[in-house]
Amino acid sequence: MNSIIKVENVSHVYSQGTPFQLTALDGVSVEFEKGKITGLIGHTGSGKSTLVNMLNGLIKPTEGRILLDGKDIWEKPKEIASIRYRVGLVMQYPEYQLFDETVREDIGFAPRNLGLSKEETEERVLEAARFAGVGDDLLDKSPFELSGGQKRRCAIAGILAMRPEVLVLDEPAAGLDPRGRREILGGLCEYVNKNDASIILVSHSMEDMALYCDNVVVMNRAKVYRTGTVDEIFSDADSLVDIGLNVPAVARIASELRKRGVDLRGTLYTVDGVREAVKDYIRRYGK
Amino acid sequence: MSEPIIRCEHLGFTYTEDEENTDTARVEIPALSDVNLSVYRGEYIAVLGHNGSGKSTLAKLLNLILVPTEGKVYIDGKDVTDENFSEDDLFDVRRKVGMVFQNPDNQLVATVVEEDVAFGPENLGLPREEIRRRVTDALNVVSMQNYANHAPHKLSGGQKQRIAIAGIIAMKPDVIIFDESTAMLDPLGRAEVVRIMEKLNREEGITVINITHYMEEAARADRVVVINDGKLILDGSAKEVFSDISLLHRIGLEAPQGAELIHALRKDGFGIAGDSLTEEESVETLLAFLESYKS
Amino acid sequence: MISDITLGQFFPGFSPLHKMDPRMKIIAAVIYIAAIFTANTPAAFALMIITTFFMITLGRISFKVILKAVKPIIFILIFTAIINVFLTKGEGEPLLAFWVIKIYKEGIIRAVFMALRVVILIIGTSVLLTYTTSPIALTDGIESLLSPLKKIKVPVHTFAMMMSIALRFIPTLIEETEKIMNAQKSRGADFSSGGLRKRAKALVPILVPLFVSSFKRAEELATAMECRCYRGDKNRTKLKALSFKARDFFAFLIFSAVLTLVILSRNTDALIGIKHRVLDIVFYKL
Repeated sequence: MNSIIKVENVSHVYSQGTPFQLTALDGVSVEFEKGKITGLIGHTGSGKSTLVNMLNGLIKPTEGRILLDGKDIWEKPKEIASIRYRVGLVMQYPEYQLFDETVREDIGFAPRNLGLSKEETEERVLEAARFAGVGDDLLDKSPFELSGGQKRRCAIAGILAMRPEVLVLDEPAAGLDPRGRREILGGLCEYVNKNDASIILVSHSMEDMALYCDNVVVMNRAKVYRTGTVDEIFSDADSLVDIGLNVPAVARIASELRKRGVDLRGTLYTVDGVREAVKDYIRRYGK
Repeated sequence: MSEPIIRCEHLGFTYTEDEENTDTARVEIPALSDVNLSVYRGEYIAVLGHNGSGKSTLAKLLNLILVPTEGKVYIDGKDVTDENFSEDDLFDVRRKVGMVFQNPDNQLVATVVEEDVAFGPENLGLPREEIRRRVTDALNVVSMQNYANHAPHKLSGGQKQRIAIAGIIAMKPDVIIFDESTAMLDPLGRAEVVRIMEKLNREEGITVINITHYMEEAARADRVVVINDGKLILDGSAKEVFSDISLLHRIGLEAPQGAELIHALRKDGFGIAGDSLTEEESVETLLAFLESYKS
Repeated sequence: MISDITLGQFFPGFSPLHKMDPRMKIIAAVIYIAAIFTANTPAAFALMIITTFFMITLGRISFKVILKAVKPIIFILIFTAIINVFLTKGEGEPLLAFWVIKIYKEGIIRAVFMALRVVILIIGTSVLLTYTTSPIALTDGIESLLSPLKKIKVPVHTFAMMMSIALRFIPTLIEETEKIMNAQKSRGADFSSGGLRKRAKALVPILVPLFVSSFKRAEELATAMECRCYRGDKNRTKLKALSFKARDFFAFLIFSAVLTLVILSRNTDALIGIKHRVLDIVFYKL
């Protein structure tokens, strides 16, 4: 596998030596494939948030290494800021990071911090706004005038403006309605394709995982529980259910049909996949 | 049927904002118009709509956080827009119609769980022993009795939301409105809150109105009301509402995946008969269809 | 991590100190503070330190928590101690003298007393008031102690409520600040380098979102409180009644005894010394 980020034997303990001591990660080794969308799932408290915050150097692991394109990101601790431009992190409910007078300037915050010229900043802002679905008419408004969904997009654009090689997204669509979810996640996929970037997507929504991800990493109790392609992970529903996670509803329906003797074949975890599988079944057995 | 606990007649609300940059001093933003809705005691209703559809405005009108700019709202038979409607009546309405909000952090007042739950009953001026009894009962209902002396900020999102619910239950309301109360929770927290909603409805006889955009939650309610662009466009049983999937798609919503699958197959030209609201129904419907196709 | 700061946080529990009436805790704290500032002999300080240790044990607060509470002020403490050591002039020969600096015995004593005062002041009041008293109880205590002022139309309840809510949101805001800092760091913000001007400017991306979200929180909280029938102290009752118990009178006796002992142990020479110095200054001015 051609990996962009390699996590090597990483452990992390919070408040070490106090009564509140908490092992958030315990000897985690995992690779994220270049140019692909990798989903990261697990319960709250499974360690995934800690892992996510480590990928761009916000948290330094108490043990182990994180390699970005083969290089340890903590090799020169003083240059950790440069890592943050290469691994863009969009946190949960990122709209709270908005602060500048206009949307344009807010999206341009990171490029300005990078020391880019005015023209280059403007170019980055426009590009990022397009990928994140922020309309041109919004650029000169105050970010605080926007609706909830628009704010979210503006905040995501603020990260895309760094043109990160890796985009780490923690529940980018939380709290949005179905249309809002599709628009944001669709735009991010487009960014990946155009810039040959990689995405690490954290989400509780198995439906989103099934729709958008190539690979999936499952975390449980501070450890990596399973890794594999979406196919591999969702076709083994039982192992997810064992740790209290779920598969998409349509995957449960397909699996029940198979159990009841309907020989469905194909991608059995998205609505479209099952739809094709049912049609295929009819072609094979129908009159 | 008996008198509804909540009745809206041609209810409308227009936000008026002061705009600094324009000469016209005010900008009027209609959020809700001409809503007719009756809610009966013991009902379990879901209100669906996309972000900004006006569903939260509706919630705020029902317990008088907002005052209607058009039409009427009757709570337990009392007209809230009546000029004789006093401050005491107002607080009576707020007691009868409790509300649980989206962000659990922003509705907890106290630093100890039981003191927070006691906040409502304290405001009602109840005697101490009664407050104590209600706090204990309410914490039992949400299964948080072991956390009575905990600090809320150390609890998980789902647990905080359960405390917020207990704070409302302790006022003994007739109706509880959940205003996207599950939107910020993880799946486990969401499941907990939904379970409590249903428990309150079935066991305590409380009327539940769940405002949400999670279709799986709406599908569990007895009745679903759909709001789009400030108008009530659908009102019926969950089965009825989720049978018109094309309409849901048009307004940016989706149905549960089983219903979506069967809808897609029907669009492909297959005449599939039967229900698809729950996963079990979807499985049975598809099985019956495939059997009929085979033979 | 910022959220490690424990100063101003309540640890729920059932220790004798937790069970004490908040009004008595406030009164005790006042006596305790008075004693600290009256103490000026090693014996008095020893007594104060014993009292403080007694309180920590009684409140079942771990010493790690106490250390953490003191940590943020250590720098200020050392700084003021050094100033005291260098600037205090004593009567006898200096212990150490080089260049313009002369260090006297009095300076060292004063620096030690000063540092002790601040440390036990912070520890004692934290243990009494914040660690073992829920902010709501504390507010109730203040409200009750100040309630005579209601007669002259001072909105005591409103202030008490405002204070308790402020306390309730301290951990939430600390968490939020950390979140915002991380988000801005992820956009290349730099909070730790550059001159004063640059650093002050770097705070804007933190402060603006913090204010915006705080206002939003305030608004939502106000709505939620209204929904729970809050209408000030009109017709309001309380879950927890304040009532003085035997332990409260006992605590009052102990604290009063400590204060009395401290007063009795006062170094009267020093007292006279101060009086002389004040008189000198007055005469000098005349």
